[in-house]
Amino acid sequence: MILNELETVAPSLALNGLAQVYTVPAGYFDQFASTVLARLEQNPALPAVSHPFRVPVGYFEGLPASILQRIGHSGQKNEILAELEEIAPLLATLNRKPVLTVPRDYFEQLSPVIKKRPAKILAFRPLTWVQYAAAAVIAGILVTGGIVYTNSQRFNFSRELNNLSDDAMISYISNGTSPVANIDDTETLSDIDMTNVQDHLESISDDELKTYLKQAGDGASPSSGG
Amino acid sequence: MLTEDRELLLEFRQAATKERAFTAIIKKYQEKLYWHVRRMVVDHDDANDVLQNMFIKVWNALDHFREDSQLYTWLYRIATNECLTFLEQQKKRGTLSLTDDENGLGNKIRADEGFDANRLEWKLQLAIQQLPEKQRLVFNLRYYDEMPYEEMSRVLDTSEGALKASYHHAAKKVEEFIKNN
Repeated sequence: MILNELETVAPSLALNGLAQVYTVPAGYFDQFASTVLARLEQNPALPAVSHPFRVPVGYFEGLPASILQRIGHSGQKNEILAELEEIAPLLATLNRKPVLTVPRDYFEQLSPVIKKRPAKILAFRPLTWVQYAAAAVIAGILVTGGIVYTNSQRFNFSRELNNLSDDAMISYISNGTSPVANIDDTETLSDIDMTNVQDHLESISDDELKTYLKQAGDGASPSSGG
Repeated sequence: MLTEDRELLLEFRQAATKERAFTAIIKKYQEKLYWHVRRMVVDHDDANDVLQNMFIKVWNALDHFREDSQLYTWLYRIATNECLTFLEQQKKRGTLSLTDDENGLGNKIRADEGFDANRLEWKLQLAIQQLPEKQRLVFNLRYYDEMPYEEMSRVLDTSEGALKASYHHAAKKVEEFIKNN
């Protein structure tokens, strides 16, 4: 194709063909690659560039988010100003720089001062009256509960007496046999002279006794014999 | 979380770099937190005490920071709680008047060496001290620190709606005070 073009443009050149006139040593191209490598070994290339500066871990990964946040922040600033202009226009015009005075070099010396302070602080907060009252209520509940429980375990003589059948009572008076299995208050009973009791009972008429038993039976539990 | 803060946290959690990281955190946030505290307690010495106590708590608690919020949100939250605790203690000790409309802090503002009653910026300070504590917090965080409501809700543990309403009321009250004084 090139020859055809050449015949059109310069026919005399086309007659000579595209022959190379320069000579190349034999095997030149076969040896060329190894020749270049050998030269590189003799004169090594410059070392890889090492950065002396340190970059924080994850810096580049977080960079887009940081920039977006700053863009968002400036939008936020405008939003806050717009909000203020709507609610309280006067405040939107005021200078927001701090007016309270700060001692000179305060911030420069703050971190060393904090580091010198003890690492642990014990904060003692005195109890308020509410806390004292709550503690008193809880103590009262515990004490009251203890008293009620203790009383409930005591032997109730009146209750036990009402639960006794008339036969059991008569048997006790006659024989001195205690019908109450778990009577605790035996000290009181043991002080009573049973002979005197029997003497007293013999002086009571049958009618009086029956009246008494009837009255006792009216107030007795369903389990009693009366 | 911001990359720089994350790196500071990593350094703080290693013994060899703990102190250096802590110093870096203080230097990065000290001014912002100082002014946040100062606007609440007014007096510089009180602000200094509160701020130092706050950073000591940070030193003790930072290892356990769960990173479920930004570091500065967490710092603001601690600083806010320290302010409220301090003001509560002041009231109990009688240092701050409970009946004074300005919570006793108005007098502290007037005591500042740069106080000028004719300047609007000082009237603004007096007006802010008229607000109830929580409302004052909301106003300061929005007006001075330009904090988004979403972040503020994490700092103050309050809904965004409530914060917006609180800020609106606060701004109107402050403006009213300045106009009338």
